[in-house]
Amino acid sequence: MITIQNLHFSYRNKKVFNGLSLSFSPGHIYGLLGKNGTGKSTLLKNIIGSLFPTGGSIAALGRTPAKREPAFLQDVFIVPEEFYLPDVSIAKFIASNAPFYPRFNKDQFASYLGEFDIPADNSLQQMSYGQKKKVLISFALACNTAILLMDEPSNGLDIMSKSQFRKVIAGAIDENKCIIISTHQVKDLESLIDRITIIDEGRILFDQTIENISSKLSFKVSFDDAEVKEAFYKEDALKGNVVVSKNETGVDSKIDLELLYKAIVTNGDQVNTLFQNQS
Amino acid sequence: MTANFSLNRLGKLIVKQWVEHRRLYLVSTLALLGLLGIIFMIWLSTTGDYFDENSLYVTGLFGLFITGSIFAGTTFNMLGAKDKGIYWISFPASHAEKLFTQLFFNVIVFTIVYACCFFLLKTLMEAYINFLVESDPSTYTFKRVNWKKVDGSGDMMPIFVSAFFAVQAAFLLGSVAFKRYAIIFTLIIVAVIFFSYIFYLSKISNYYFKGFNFELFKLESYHYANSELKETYKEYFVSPVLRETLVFFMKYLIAPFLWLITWFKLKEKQI
Repeated sequence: MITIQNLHFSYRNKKVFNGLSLSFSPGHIYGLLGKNGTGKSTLLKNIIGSLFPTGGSIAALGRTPAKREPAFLQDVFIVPEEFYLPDVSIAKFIASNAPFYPRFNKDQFASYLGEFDIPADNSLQQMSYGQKKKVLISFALACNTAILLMDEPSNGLDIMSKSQFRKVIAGAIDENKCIIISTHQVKDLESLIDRITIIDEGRILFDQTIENISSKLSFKVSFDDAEVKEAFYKEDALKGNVVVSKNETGVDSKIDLELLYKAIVTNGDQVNTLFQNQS
Repeated sequence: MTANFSLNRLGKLIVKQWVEHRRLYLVSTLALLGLLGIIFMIWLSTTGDYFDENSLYVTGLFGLFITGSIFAGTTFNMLGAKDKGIYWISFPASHAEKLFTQLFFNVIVFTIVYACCFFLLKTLMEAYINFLVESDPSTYTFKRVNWKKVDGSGDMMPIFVSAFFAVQAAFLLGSVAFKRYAIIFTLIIVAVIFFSYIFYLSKISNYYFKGFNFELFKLESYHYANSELKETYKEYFVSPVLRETLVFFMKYLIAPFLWLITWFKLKEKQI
């Protein structure tokens, strides 16, 4: 669905990507994790065609995003971190924007608004940032585009809304859609994504499915000094240590995304070696 | 229609533009009406007792140039902000359709709305002036424009109109090319090009037509006061084909040429 090959990208003096290769398939929700300024948003903008690669290639839905063809744009939607909605009522926004997305579903949109507890007769400008974001997310999902890109979607959402967001996204995925969520708030994606890609300094630090991670890594509280010593990552807890270690039991472990992220950032080589050896 | 240009999609885009900017357009029309009203009131109070319809048109054209340029200079200001820029760029329509939509509102609709405001106010002004003239014919005079006069306002109007579209197209291009202060930068560039052209013309005339009675915007024909004088001179002529082509380009093609560049700039725009 999306194939990125040897991607190079720079902002004037700053190199962001230097030969990044990555692919995304339909039927999955991808979590794009990384620190601020590591190129997550830049990657999404390259995928939608608002930025152009300086080298390499991106093919999405069989097209080149940089051409910005209407047939491509009507099948891809981005919820940017900094977003804009016009000063009109929700009804007028839908009436003027939805006709450009052939698979837009009005009932779905109403249902998402209901999930988020947003009154449908409001004007967008009267809404708070969080409410506007929920309208945009609802619209993005109701467009039923093959590719949905979300940049820090949980920013500005309150605690209740974050869990509503997870529920809505989980219900929206099907075998024809590919959802890529970029965030540095890893907790917000827990139990939602099925593949994790961690980017740092324009390169991929880690790229594995949730299934693989839970079968090969163990996330637990340990009191065993030897286990703590051998762990990929450890953190002091009130009692014992919280560790990320090799899964020796063969029983799938519940993933703690925050711990995984820290383990990759601090000890990525060793973690990746484990996946390479066992793959 | 092609994959990148569909009249159906263009129509929907025009409707969307109207729905999302209707309030701005209505407020702008009221502001334009108010501004023109103020300018006409100043004109009325400073003209004295001799009213010339021609100066009314000149004032109107001057206003058209200024407001048209400002309006055109804000056309693509959405591209200057990240949030609005992504919304605009990622919207499922081609660059050509998006450009046509802006041209529809900023060139066609704007010019029609301006003309309506101008003629509405002009009608009111004329009614007032006629009232003054009828009530005191010995003091007040109202000179009408003679549209049939050769080299008069009737002949000049098409040139002004094409110049207006060219200047407006330059500001439209500036609104894509410059992220910030687009109007100021475009104004500077247009002024530099204009004055460089004038400077170039004066250089040419100083070099080739030394001794000519030269004025900045006018070349007067050479007259022999005394045919006995053995003065020789050379005349330089541009080929009629070249001359006509240049005149045609200057009159009708500058604006489309700048629109074409704007389209290329839109395609290259990254946010």
